This record gives sequence, C-alpha cells and structure tokens, in this order.
Amino acid sequence: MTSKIRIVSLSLALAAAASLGLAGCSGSGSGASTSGADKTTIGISFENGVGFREGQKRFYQIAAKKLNVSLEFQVAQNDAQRQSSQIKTMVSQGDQGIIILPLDPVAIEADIKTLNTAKVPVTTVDVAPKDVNSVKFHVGSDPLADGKAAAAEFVKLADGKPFKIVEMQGALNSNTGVARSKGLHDGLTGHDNVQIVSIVPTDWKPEPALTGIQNALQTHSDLAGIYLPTDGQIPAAYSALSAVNKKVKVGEPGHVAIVSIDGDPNGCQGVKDAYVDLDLATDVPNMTLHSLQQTVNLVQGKPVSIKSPEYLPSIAVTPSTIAANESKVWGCSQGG
Amino acid sequence: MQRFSSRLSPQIVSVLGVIVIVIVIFSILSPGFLALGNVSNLLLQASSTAIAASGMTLVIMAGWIDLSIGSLMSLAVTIALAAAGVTSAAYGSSSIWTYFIVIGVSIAGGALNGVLIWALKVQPLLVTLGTMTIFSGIALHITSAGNRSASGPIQYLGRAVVFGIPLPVIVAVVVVVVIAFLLRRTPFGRYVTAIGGSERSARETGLPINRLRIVVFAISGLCAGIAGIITVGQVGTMQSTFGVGFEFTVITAVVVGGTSLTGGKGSVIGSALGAILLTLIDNGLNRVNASVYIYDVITGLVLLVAVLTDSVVMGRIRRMNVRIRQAGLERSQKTPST
Amino acid sequence: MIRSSLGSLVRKAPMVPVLIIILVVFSIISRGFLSVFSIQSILLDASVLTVAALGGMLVFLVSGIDLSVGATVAGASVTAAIVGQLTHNPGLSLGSALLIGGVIGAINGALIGFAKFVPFIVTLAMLLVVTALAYLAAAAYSGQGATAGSVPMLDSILAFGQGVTFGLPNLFPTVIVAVIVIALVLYFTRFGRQIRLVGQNEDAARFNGLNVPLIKFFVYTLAGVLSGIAGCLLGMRLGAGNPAGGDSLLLQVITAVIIGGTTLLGGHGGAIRTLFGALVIVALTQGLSTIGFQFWDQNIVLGFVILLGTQIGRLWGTSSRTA
Repeated sequence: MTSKIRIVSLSLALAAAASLGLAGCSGSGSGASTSGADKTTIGISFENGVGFREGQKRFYQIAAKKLNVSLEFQVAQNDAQRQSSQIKTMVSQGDQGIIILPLDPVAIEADIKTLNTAKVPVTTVDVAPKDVNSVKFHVGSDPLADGKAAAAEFVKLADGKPFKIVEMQGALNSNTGVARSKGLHDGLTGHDNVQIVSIVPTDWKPEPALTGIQNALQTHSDLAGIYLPTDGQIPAAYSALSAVNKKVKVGEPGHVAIVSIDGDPNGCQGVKDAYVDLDLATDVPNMTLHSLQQTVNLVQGKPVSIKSPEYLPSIAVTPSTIAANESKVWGCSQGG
Repeated sequence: MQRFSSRLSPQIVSVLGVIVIVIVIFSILSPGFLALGNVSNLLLQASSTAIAASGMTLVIMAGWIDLSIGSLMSLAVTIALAAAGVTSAAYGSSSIWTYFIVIGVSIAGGALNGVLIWALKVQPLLVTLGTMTIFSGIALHITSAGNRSASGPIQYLGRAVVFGIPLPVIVAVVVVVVIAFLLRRTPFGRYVTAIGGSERSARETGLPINRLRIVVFAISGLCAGIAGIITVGQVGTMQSTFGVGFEFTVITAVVVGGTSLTGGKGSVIGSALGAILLTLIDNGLNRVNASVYIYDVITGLVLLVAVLTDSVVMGRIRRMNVRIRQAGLERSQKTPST
Repeated sequence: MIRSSLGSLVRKAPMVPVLIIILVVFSIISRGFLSVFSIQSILLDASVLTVAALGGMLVFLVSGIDLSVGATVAGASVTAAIVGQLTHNPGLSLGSALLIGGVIGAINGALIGFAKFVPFIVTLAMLLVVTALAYLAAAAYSGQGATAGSVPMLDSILAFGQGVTFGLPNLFPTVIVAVIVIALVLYFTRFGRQIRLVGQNEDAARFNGLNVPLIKFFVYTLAGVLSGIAGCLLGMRLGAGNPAGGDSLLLQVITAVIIGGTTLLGGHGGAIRTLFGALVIVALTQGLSTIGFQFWDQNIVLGFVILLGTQIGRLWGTSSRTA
C-alpha cells in the first residue's frame, strides 16, 4: 500500500513540476521584471478577472514600449488582502513607481499611505480610491457619463413615443457598475416615454444577461431597447433576439436597439455589423498611456502634467461613425 | 402490507408541492408567469442544470460528491474552442469537432477524478476540491482570463428548435430518463445505490467499487460537458467566469429534489424537478425585479426548507414503517403458526 | 506533544520543513522575498487565514465541514466596520463581530448537531444567506443605491491593525495567542478530549455517554467566534469591512487545514499544525507571485498542494479506505 502512495505522490509531484514548468514559461514573461539599470520599472497592481482587463494590459505593454519602461504586473484576483501584500512585495522588489487598480476603494487608502511613507510614487487607474485626492494622479473612465449618454441615445431613438427598455446591471459592488446604472436612470428622468421595464443584475456575466433578456422579450413583445453595461454581453443579446426572430439591423423594421459600453472586439464588430446602435468605447489607449506617463513623471521627480483626477470620455461610435473612428476604439485593433 | 417506499413518492411529492406553491406565488405577483412562452423559456433555462444534476445524482447516490463539474465544464469548452482556433472574444468559429473535444475532455476529467480518488484514498470531497482548482487554473491559463467567442456549430445544440420544442429541453428529458433508468433498472444502478447504502458492505460483497467509481464520475463529467455545450452555445461567448459556482447550484438542485447527501436514497426525477424549482425562483424573482441581494437569500432558504422537509417527511415515514413492522410482528406473535 | 526525534517531527508537523524549503527556494530565485516588507506581508496575510483555519480545523475534527467560513469572516468584518462607524466605540465594534460570528456558528451548530442536518448543506445555505446579508448591510450603510462596497473601520482600530511593534505586525501576536489557546483547549481540557473522541468514532463516543449533539453545537459556535475574530483581523488589516472579503478564503482555509494534517475523518489535527499549514500556503502564493505566476497558475499549484496534502493526513494511518 505505501509503495502505491509513493508512486502516486511521485507522479503527482512530477505532474506538478511539469505544470510549473509550463506555467513558468508563459508566466514569467509578463510578471518577472528585468533589473535593467537604466530602465525604469513600474509595478502595476492589477486585477485580471474579466476580458476587459486583457485589453488594458495589452495597451499598458504598448505604452511601456513607447516610453521605454519595464513593467511588472501583479494580479490580485478580487482579494484586497493579496493586493495589499503584492504592493508591498513590489516595493521590496525595487519597483520605482506603483500603479494601482484598487480592488477595494476604502482599503486601498492604507496601502497608499504606506507607499507615501516609503516615498514610492503611486497613482491609480480605472477605479478611484475613496478619496481621489490621496494620490497625485488618477485616470479612469466616466461611467456616470456613459450611462447618461446611453440614456440620451434611447431618448433620441424613442423620439417622444413610448419606448420600453430592459437594463442589465454590472456588479453592484463596483463603482463602475453602480455608476453606469445610475447614469442611465438619471439620464432618463423627465423622459417618461422611455420606460425601464426590467432591471437584471448580471455581475458582468453573460449567462444572467441571456436569461434576463429572454424573459424580458417574452414578457414584453414590444421591447424596443436593451442596455448592456458591458460589451461581453452582446453575444447573449444576439442569442436572445435571434431566438424570437428579432435580431434585426439598425434602421430595418423590427430593430431592437442595443446600447453598450466597453469598446471591446464584440462592441466594435457589433457596431460594424449594424446590430449595435451605440457603443461607448472606453478610451483604453489613452488611459493606459496617461497612467504610465504620469507615474514615470513622478518617478523622475517631475510634476504631474495632467490635472488629477482625469476622467476620459468614452468614444461614442454608431454604425455610421465607426469607419471614421475605428482607430480610436481599442477593441477594433484586436483582430482574430 | 403497504410500506411507504423510501425511494420515490414522498420526496417527489414534497418537491412538487413546493413547485406548486412557488408557481402560485409568482403567478399572483407577476401575471403572465404561466404563459406558454415563459414556460418554454423556463424549461430551456433549466435544461443544463437538470442535465448536470442527473449526473450528480448518480454520484451522490453512491455517497460521493463532485465539486469539480463547473471547472471541468469550463476546461472542456476552453480546450475545445482553443483547438478550433478561437483566440479572441469576437472572431473565430468552432467546428463540429468542438463537440467531440468537449465530450472527450469531460469524460476524461471525470474519469480522472475517479482514478485519483482510488489512488489517493481520501474523500471525493477533497479530491474534487483539488481537481476543481486545477481544472479552472488550466482553463484560465489557456485563455489568460479573456473572453472567447463561441460561434459556429457549437451553437446548434443550444439554439435548435425541434417541432416547436427547444432541443436542450429534449436532450434534458432524454438524459434524465436514461440516467433514471440506469439507476433503477440496471445492475449498475443497484450497485451504485448499494455503495451509497454502505460502502463497506458493498466492498465485502465483492463489488468492484473502484471501477464503478470511475464510471460514475465519468458520467458526471459527461453530463457536465453536455450542460456546458448547451450553455455556451446559447450564450454565444465564454467568459472567464464560466462554470464558476455551477457545482453548488447543481448540488442544491439535487438536494432540493430529495436525494440524500449520505447516499443510498434519491431520485433523478427529483433532481430534475429541483433544477426546475431553482429556475422557477430565479425566473420569478427576475420578473418581479427583486433586489439582487434577495436571490441568494431565497436560494439559501429554499435549500434549508428542502432539507428540513425531507428530514421531517422521512422521519414520519420511518416512524410509520416502524409502527407497521411492529404491528406485523405483534400479529404474527398473537396468531399461532399453523 | 513535543518529541525530540526528527523523524517524528516530520510526521507530527510536516509543514515545518516544507515551509523552510519554500522560504529557502524562493529567497534564492526571487529577490526581495526575505525582505522585511515581504515577511511582514506573509505574516499579515497568514493572520486572518490562520484564525479562520483554526475554526475550520475544529469543524473537521468532528467530521464536519464549514462552507460558510469565508462569508462569516466577511460578514463579521462588515459588522465591525458598521458598528464602529455608528458608535465610535472600538470595544463595541470588535465585540459585535465576535457576536455575529458566534450567532452564525450557533445556528450552524444547532442545525447540524441537534437537528442532524448534513453540514455541507447547512453551511452552504448559510454561506448564501450571510453573504447576501453582508452585502445588504454594506449597501444600507452606504446609502441606498450606492456601492455595496466596503465600510471603513474605526480609525483607532485601524491604527492598531496597521501598526508594527518590534518589527512584527501588531496583528500577529493575536494569532499566536489564538493558536496557543486552541492548542491548550484541544489537548489539556476535557472539552478538547471530547471533541477528538467524537471525531474519531462518533458511535463510541455516544456509547461512552458523551452528549455528541451538544459537543458539535459548541464546536460550530466556537468556529463561528473564531471566524468573527478573523473578521476583526481582516477589517483591521484592510482598514475596511468588505462583504466580498471572504470569497477566496474558503478554499484557502480548507487547504490550510488539510495540508496542516487534519483529516476530514476527524480526530486528528492540531492548532500548531494548522498555523504552519496557513504559513505554507501564504508563503507559497506570495513566492509564486514574485516570480511572475499569474493567479491561475498559482491555483494550479494550489490544487496539486491540496491533492498531495490529503496524503499527509493519511500518514497518521488513521483510516481504512473511505469514500
């Protein structure tokens, strides 16, 4: 019996070593930092749970090449404790500047204080700390404005007539999700002809979006619009619409309006195919570039050249304007 | 003497009872709940859970548990899509081979669970906890937590409609019937139930438990794979969160359906009804625009109520059986044997 | 319990040499791993995990499982934060967390011990309910419609939690105290002996006149209180009570308990072993982080650690094969 245990343990250990090697090969590329003497090393305390982050990471790497800076990513995966530890680790590894994507806007204050005490320049990106002035520079999108822009689009499409829409909500423990929803509601006040008939919490996932839209289409056969807080749910919207033969292009009779936010490949394609009326593309290229640039400035002892906090407006694209603005939408540059 | 079979009727009755109550409540709160279109939606939305719950019922009947089905589902679809060359959220298409790869990986992963439990000689709870972590880790490694487009042939199963009935519903019915048949009317099913009753006795009677275990977990994996194909085909995209927490939904459906976690007692039809009940609640809460926080609270409460009902009902039946047996004993003691 | 021979050290506390190996290996391949900052991080991260894992270990000892541990920790931290903000009283703030933890544990214990429900289901249901209530509480406190995110902890508590004394984080001595207390209870009190007896053979324990339901009730309640303490530690560590704070904790707790050497069969386990189990996990994940492993790759390693760790419990040779 014991020999069997040994064999099994040995083989498990071998398998572990093999997978370690495998993981290490692809893992070290993005994580381990080079200690090049003349290259500034910036540590990014990141989160990698949703596809959107992939886009942000890619553009950080593009920006890093442009600014000739080396990056180290540490991913904390929803664990604020781990983020706190990783920030300290990055400092002890010699990173000269830290960019944080805060997982917990309140808890991150403590880490910012630690970094300030250690005299390491710190900036935040995308999610603002509770007190946005505790860092010298923050850049992010403006989810409230995005929601309002979406509302404006629905109002325009409704043209005074009754217009029923269904709202998918992003995660309600994230400011982005809450603000995108609030923006929509704020933008619709005073326009009673546009009615939100159903609010579906989706936690950014496409499966609840599918069932939510299915249910809404079933209950309201005159559903005229769908609000998606993230482009990742566009395929789910397509699926629900196709099932009841309502996947119709913009401008054609029976079209159900889709307004979405993110600017990822799905959004880009959706607008090009003219199924999505409006996609509010987050300005990822500039967000990452400004974030990195200002952090490097701080590291080099220079002042921040952009007033903080900076909220970058999203790039609104519709089927008629996508061709001209394609280069600005980050998702369009991610080919298959 | 009429003995209440502890296998079928009371559990099904109590689940059906809860379903009826829920339907009544939601029909009042939201007219149109029972419209044909909504019922069709409901059954469609319940299909993948029902399929996975069938496989899980088999596992739990034997007194085991499988925590890895969500991650296995995700891994199988990930590998299949990667093999089809899909590397982004919006481009690339699956092929007909995608089906085979998902099925193959699901069965292999399930069988691996069975083998590991055999080799490591510890509870399935812990082993499947480990494989759950490994499977999801590998899946995310392949996609780097990005989204993957699930377009092309992989959508057929999830979206086809046959004679007005969504294909996933038909598949679910077939799977439920097949596994119920396996469980009740084949030696295999009897062995599985026997293991659930008492693994030691089963071993002493010479049952090849290790081999049976591999088969059972492979079936569970297969069911998870089918459920995954249906879900991802319907949604049209695979996110990094695909399958997360699915095992808990499925186990909830199985328990609510009356199957006992200690093994030896349960019903596949009950699990399917449990899946429908959970979908009913979700659908109903959706229609009344309930606060997001309420969803989980209600699911948790339903779970507790189901376990409570089951224990109360089973307690009553046990007492009734005891009384019947006692009455039978007394009678045979009074009448002299001829 | 301290034996002198090295071989039995490995049997008794296999995680100690493993921890040493991890520390050595990572300090070689990754610069800064043994820096003050880094060690402090490991100790801090391990603090919350260890205390929660102590509760998990106790539950394992009576052949149970507690899926609600993460949710209870998060709920307790939110409670401490809200009460702290409302009353500005550190004592009330921390006390309320312990109370909530105890109440949740007591409900678990009552349903599992007295009503004899299956621990998996009861604690799963509790996980759902407690998480939802924690979110509700946080949302209610931040005002309707606002982010159901974190609630700041009281400043005075924060200062203690973030502070460092003689180079050690303030929180860590609390953990050491908890570990010692639990270890003493387990091995030198009648209650502790009863717990181990129940775990080893429940029927025999019952025949010997032990009130098994009551013992289980107390075990789950104690585990709940420990989760409450862990919630306080988490809140102090982060400076906020976050309803999502327990999400990754469940898996880490079970892993720490398993590789510490406590089996699910019950009866064998130890507080000190659990402490080292927690330290190993934290050191391992931190080390992997520093050499560039993404969290999914860390998970692959963690999964293997779980599988291998189950064999450690078997070194005690307690079981014949189990399902």
